[in-house]
Amino acid sequence: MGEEYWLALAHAPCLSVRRFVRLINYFGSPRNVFEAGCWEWQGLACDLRCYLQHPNWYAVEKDMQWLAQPGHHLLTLLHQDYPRLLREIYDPPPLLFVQGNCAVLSELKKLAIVGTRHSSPEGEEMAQAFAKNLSYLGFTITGGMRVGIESASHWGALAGTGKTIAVAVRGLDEVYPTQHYVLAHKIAEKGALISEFPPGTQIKRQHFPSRCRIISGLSLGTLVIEAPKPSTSILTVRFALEQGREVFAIPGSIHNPLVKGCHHLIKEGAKLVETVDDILEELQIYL
Amino acid sequence: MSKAEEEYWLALVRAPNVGPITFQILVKHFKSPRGVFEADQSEWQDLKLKVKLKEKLQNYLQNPDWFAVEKDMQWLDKPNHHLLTLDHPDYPPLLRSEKIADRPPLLFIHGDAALLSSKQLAIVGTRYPSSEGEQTAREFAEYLSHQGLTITSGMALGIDGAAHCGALAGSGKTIAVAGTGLDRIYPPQHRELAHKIAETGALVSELPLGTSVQRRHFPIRSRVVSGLCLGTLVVEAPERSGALYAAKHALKQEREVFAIPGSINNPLVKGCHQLIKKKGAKLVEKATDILEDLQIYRSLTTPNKIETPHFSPKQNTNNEIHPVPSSTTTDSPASQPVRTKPKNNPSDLDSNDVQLLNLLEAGPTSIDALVEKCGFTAASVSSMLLMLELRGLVTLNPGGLYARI
Repeated sequence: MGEEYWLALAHAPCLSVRRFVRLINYFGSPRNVFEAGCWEWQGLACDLRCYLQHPNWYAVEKDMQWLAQPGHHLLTLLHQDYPRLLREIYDPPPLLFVQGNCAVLSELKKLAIVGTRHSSPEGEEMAQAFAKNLSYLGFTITGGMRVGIESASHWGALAGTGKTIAVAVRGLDEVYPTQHYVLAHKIAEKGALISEFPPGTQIKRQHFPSRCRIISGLSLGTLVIEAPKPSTSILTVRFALEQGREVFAIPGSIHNPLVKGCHHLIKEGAKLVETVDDILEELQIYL
Repeated sequence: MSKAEEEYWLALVRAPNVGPITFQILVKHFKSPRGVFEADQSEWQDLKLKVKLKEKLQNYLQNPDWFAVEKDMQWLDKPNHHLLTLDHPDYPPLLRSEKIADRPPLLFIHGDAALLSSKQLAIVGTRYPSSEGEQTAREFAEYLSHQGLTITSGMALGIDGAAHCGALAGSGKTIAVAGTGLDRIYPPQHRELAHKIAETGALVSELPLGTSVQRRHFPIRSRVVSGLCLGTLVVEAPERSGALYAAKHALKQEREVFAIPGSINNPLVKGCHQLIKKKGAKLVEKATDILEDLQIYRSLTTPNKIETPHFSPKQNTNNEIHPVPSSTTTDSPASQPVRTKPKNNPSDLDSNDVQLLNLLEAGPTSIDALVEKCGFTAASVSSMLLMLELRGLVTLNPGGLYARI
């Protein structure tokens, strides 16, 4: 089956996302890559050539076992259900491991909500309220399930229609952060947990910024609720801007250090948001 | 007895139904206000004005209010009282802008007339601000006046009054545009403030002496406030606040508009948020944002030594105690003394605050790191830091690091 070749290629060491995609474009599919033979592999790097001769079928076997479980899916870049907005970014993940409902991934109305891990109670309340209202208005809320603003917005969406997507920084076999075990399972009920990494992949530093591009890439826009300056939320916004998506920020008192990042974004052109109507107004043209 | 040119200006401005635009049409047609009075019938024929208006005007011209003009001239004789007519070389150049078709034909001034041609920033806002908003207005005004900007406002209760107070505590250079004739003061609580403004700044009005307060004067007055200035800062304004008129005029006059944001749950800042969202007003967190935007660089003669480039009005590293203006009237916002800078005495802090201060001894630290080290919630750490900042015990450096002062 085609899936096994995708998985095999995903386990190739030192194969960046962009190179993966270039290989597919050149050979047509992962199966073709493996079946091409030494002659055609000549132009590839040495370590990749070695791997293609001896792929890690053991890891692929374990991935297939994971995928066999109910509610577990694989969306490859060429799959018709692969989220359209994500396919348009510079470096889309070739594979998405999904636990939950694939259908939410293909919906157009998605909004990312990001913010600091060290949020205030008011900020969390705001995140919950916005997420709940937006979900009732038909939006799927995307986020990283981080502590603070992001988890609050996932809970808010769950209190609404339940449609929310959490993008993980490791393989989906384990939940990170561990205190979000219950949240993760609730998200998988009506929404989806997704990861670009095969099950069993441990967390690495570079997974965090890498994840930001998926959160913004899935969505029509990114809303920043509380972000001191500098912070990771600003990174997600940078990706959103590169991807040509809308950026929204909620202001606060000029004496509140938690919103300095939001004010900076508004000064740079992000839309100031007071209510969900402000968001709807900007996204009307996409809907 | 032949009359001075000014007397004809003063007489014409009192003609019924003659507003700024009609005034200018008349002066253009008859060459000067004197010309209007001395013209014969034939010159009125090709004047393009409504017939009824012409009739009323000609009736007035038969019998102008020379008595009132006499009183105007007596007022102008007093020291520090001036009149700037539209043809005067010292008439403020920004008010002459072609974007202000209805520029005031003349300005009564009590104070320093030259100040009207200085670089000004309007600071406006609600008449019923929060204490935080008032303090922000005061601090911004004080800091910006030290940077060489004259602070202009309407001397209304609330934000306007606080801005004037701040400027008086700063360089003293502030202009109040009145909604009445200058022989009276509105609101009456600002009598003391008005006197102080006239000493080092200027009181200005386009309305003849004797004109009492009327609601309709305020939005009209706002165009002069914004028209004199490079930009207008709105500090706190609810959705339908009168303070927003100045911003509206500023936009029409193609001047900068700045607004200070706040919590989205605070109704007092909804007007400010509307300006940022819909009218392109610039979000301002610190006074230096305004200076950068207006490209005004720090004056070399400022008394305050500004150490950090991202100076926020709260971080006066000199900890100067500013002179408290004496006040004998009741405690309206404007007559309250300017807040003295807090003393650096940590003896009355509780143990949590002391713990936080100790953590900062090591050097500039981010709020995230502080939360991790002390184990309190983010919310309590941020409010403790705010309180310590207000007390002048910590400061926020560029890069988001808190440091012990």
